[in-house]
Amino acid sequence: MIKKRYDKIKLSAQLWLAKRLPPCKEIVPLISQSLEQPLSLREKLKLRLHLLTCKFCIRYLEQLLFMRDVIHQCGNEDAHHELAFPSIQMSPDARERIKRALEKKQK
Amino acid sequence: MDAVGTIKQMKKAIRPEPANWLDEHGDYLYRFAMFRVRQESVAEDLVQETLLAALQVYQKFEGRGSERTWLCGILKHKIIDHYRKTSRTAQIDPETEARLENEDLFRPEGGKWADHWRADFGPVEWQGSPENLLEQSEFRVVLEKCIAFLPERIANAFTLREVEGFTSEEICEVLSVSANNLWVMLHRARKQLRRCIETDWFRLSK
Repeated sequence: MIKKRYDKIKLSAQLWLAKRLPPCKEIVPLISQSLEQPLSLREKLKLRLHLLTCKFCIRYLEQLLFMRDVIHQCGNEDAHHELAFPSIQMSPDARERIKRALEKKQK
Repeated sequence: MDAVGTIKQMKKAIRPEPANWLDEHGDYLYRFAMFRVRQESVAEDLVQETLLAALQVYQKFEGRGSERTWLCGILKHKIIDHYRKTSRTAQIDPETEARLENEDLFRPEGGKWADHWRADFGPVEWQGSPENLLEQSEFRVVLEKCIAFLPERIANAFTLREVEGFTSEEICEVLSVSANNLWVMLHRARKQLRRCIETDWFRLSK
């Protein structure tokens, strides 16, 4: 009962705040920029307050960090080991061409 | 066998064998390059250039570290040279860039909740951990396809940042762009990539 009431108050507070803050369209580039450099105090405040009100932008931030993690691991040298998926291979033509170029150079 | 003989034999064992490079490391180097340049012919050329360059200097390679790591180091330099070259020639495709900018992810201006996420395009919950996802070959296919879908110069900037972990200054130097320009490029790359991965993977696997 109390919990329900609290949720309701919280939601109206979030809506009240959200209407008075810059919209998501302005915040989304800021989220990306926060991964590149420390934000100014003003920008930081803008971002923090917005995140209090918006679950989409919270997810957006979390997912950018998630992608950073995934892509870093994927590009890691170990990931290119033979066991890794998918087993991308050089075409036989290219292999033959490179082999000839190497032999020519070694002579 | 005496100690000197053993050392000699060990040296022989770790000495690079150019004849075997292609068989032992060719596909590895090719995959490494493909993930970064996304075009088969470019990746093949980079592997060839790498092995030829290695051939010229391999007498200096003393077997410190593995042969593969050494070759990979050369390849990395070749890839960065390739980015440098394409940044000068790659045309900015206005159509694609405009599409990236004007995607209707947000509610129309003037209406209720203008410029907030549209309910149908707002980020959804992503299930699974990075490690878990990377074990699935289908996910890797989607990921690589989504990166390849980005305009080339944006994909290059993004790769330098997120795969190689270069700083903004280093990337600006390689691609000859200003810091502000780079941030816009990275923002667009992330926005589109996030949406592509969500549409082609997370919304489907629900």
